[in-house]
Amino acid sequence: METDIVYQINDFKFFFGKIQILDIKNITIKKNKIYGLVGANGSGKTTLMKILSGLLKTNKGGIYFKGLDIKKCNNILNKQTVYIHQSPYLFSGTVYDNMKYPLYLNKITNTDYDKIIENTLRQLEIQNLKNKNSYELSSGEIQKVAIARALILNREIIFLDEPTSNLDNKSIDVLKKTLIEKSRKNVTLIISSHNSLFLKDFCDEIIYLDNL
Amino acid sequence: MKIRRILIALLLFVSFSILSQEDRLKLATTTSTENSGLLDYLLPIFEKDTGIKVDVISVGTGKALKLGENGDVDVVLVHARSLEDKFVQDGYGIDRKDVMYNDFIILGPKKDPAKIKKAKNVLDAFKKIANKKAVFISRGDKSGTHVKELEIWERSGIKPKGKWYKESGLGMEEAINMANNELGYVLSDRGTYLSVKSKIDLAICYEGDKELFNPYGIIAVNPANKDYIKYDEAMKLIEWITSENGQKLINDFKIEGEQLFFGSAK
Amino acid sequence: MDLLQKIFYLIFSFDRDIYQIVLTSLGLTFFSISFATVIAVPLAFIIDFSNYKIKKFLIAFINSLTSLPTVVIGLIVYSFISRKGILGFTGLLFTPGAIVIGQTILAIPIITSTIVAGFSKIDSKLYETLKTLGADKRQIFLGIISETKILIVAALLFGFGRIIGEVGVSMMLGGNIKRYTRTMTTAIALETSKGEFEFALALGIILLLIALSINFIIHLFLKREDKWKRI
Repeated sequence: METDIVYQINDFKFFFGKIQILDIKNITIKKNKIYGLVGANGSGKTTLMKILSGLLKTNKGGIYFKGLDIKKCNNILNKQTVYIHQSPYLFSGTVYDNMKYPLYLNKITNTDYDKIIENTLRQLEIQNLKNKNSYELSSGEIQKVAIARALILNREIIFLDEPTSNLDNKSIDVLKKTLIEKSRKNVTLIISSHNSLFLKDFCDEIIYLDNL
Repeated sequence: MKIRRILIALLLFVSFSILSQEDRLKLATTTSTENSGLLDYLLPIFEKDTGIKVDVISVGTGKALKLGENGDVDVVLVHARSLEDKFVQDGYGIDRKDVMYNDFIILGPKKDPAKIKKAKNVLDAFKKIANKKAVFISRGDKSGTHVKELEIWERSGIKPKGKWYKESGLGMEEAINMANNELGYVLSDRGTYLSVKSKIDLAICYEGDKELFNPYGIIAVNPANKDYIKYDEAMKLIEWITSENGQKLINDFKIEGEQLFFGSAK
Repeated sequence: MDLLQKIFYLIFSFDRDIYQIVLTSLGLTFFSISFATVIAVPLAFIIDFSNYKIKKFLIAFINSLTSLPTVVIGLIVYSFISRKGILGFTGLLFTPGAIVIGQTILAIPIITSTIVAGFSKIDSKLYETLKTLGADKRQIFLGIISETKILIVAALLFGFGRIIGEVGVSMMLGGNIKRYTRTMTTAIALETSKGEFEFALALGIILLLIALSINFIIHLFLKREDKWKRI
């Protein structure tokens, strides 16, 4: 059904200056599904995710977000999707501050912050990091905090760029569990990874990007 | 937001600047005049008597007159008669009045190598210095002192050239210091000499020739076509400084117990 | 030792003349840095976000402005605000306002170029994170500033340094008028030319003490902030 399609990409090309990064014939992304994005280094995975989440602008046609030309969706993409960097940036302050900041940015004021933050941290089993300063964290911890920070916004579409690169196996399992739960609650996930084991019995569909 | 507040502060500050100079009279004069301390002594009294604040901008004579020409100041006080007359002739100034005079002296090493103490007149003194090729420090900056120095060279028929004649381009005190260091001669106004007397080893080697009198004139900037010129206030200053009271104050001004300026208002 | 004694006396007896001069300098510098910041920070953002072709040119242009001699800037502003200039009707010449204008112009390039140089090291990921988390333009602007506080403070310090020790602009535009536009630097120039070295040295020492105190206060301020160093 039409209303289930979040992104429809047809004959889309993307250039950076004179270099072509993407040449996509056909990709369809449906609601509530988990997509794995696979490809060699430099195949354009990050570029594609940034375009779909509104961080990179394109002036070429071919991408539709919920039926609308993506070129006209700049404002809504930043509110309906969220993208988590491969090596994320944490704001100065504590983990708690980092969790509260997105709530403040989106003017979510009528809630019990402490409870929401605690719950979100628990999902990734990092509630013990709550009062630690961001500069004190290991790269794996940073990754988990960044994911938690994005999850707290309860957005419908989540892009994760190589989320397992710094995580140990236990953390990867916890992350898998959390993401599966999310997908059950009407969330669409797009995850890029080199780790085929991680993606194997977890994604509904795998998208392959070739190098150009 | 903070930015708006700061921009408002900017506007307030700039308008305050523009408005606050409403009752300030701008006087351009020479550096040696300001450095003598006379104005620091006179102007507060003037302010008390009339309520007019005077801003003193001290630069070289040439620049002082240029400021008057541009209308950037309201009144000028300088000591270069020929330039003053031209200033009035060209229409930039009106109501020129004599104010006072001090004199120039020739400072030199106590030993007086060129023996100018015995000179017949100042032209002769300069000739002796040139003949002896004794070190002479010139202001070289078209200041009143420099103009006077050049006049004397010209009238004595000498074109000063050579290693002994040094054009410094510095202020009066610095030129004196230079002469002090190099044991040379320098033409200076008495006032500056008195204020640095205790710091140097030079002595007065020649003085008294009428040629060396240094008369000061005060000129109001012509307000024609310039309605921002504070002509009335300028006239108040001119009247005050040439009045019996003002002249007495000038004569009473002393440095190291010596009178420096002599009132010459008619 | 007599010299030192005289200097200490001048500094610590709170001689009215000296402290008037110090306050004038500090007050004018405060205004100049404030106005310069208001213009320089948004300008740095504009340059940073500009199209990459224009950006290179803009950066080179701003950088070259930082090495303009102060006298040149003084001269340019002078030609505008002298009665014969276009803005002559304002009568700003020889007022404190004129000095502030000149010093603001002096400070803007150096503050801007410092911030732009610093932004190039950290900007895009911070910007993308703010954007994807839903920040609007204003929140992005404030967020970047908040995260780059150290950089901005450093830029302001550079601006302060450029201004507090300059004499070309103050002299030309202010006229070194006693108790009105006489700053520490113009006073030092004047007293030195009069051979009054003690006064000049006393002012110089006060200038140094002020610079040290400001650096110290900034250091304390930065220590209290989180020691965020990672890019």
